Amino acid sequence: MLFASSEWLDAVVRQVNAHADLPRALAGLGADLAAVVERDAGPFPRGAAAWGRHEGGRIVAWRVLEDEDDVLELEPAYVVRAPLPVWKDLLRGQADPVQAALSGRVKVKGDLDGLVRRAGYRYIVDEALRRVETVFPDEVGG
Amino acid sequence: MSERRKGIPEALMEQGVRVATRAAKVVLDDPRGQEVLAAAVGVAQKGKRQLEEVQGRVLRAAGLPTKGDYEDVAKSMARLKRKLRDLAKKVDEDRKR
Repeated sequence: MLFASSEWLDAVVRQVNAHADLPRALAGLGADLAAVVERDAGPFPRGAAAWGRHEGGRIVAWRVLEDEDDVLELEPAYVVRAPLPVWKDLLRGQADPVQAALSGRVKVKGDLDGLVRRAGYRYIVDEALRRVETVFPDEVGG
Repeated sequence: MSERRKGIPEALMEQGVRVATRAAKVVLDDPRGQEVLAAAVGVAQKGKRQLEEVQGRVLRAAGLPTKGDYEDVAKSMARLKRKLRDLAKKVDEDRKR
């Protein structure tokens, strides 16, 4: 499935929501989050963004945003921004999200301390991503 | 061609980043370390917010736009952009009928 497509996001959220530890991981966190792939000269000239909201211990609403600027209107509790190569490193487990945020490779808007406290729950996302075949647009053969 | 020799400041910076990365990993692997790091990040973010508030007050007193003003404009523009997009879609649908 193509990274940052609606189909890919649906599959990842389905897997994340199926995890028994998710309610504990989400407890006390801000209601919603947007993840943004920054504009680049490659496959994302207009950037890409996805948004999700949690309630009752699971993700209840999510969508790929048509325009990266929609994030400004939604004003989610957290906005996580990074260029594609950094997202690839994070999704492949080759980079630590907390270290990436602290070093500035990933820009986080919102209460970073809440996210740092939940760094131990990273396995929920890692396991979900392992179950979803991810194809990156810059690696699609042609 | 050989790589340019690094200056002392660059070498020190690289070494510093390596040490900090190793230290961060040790801290993050320990739940107590995670809590300490989270608290430190919270304090730093609070300090940054307070600084921005002071900056905002100074800019406002000088009759200049603040970061918040720019953010409000950006939000309004994003809303307008989305409404135009919705309208364009509606016009397209009406045309097809």
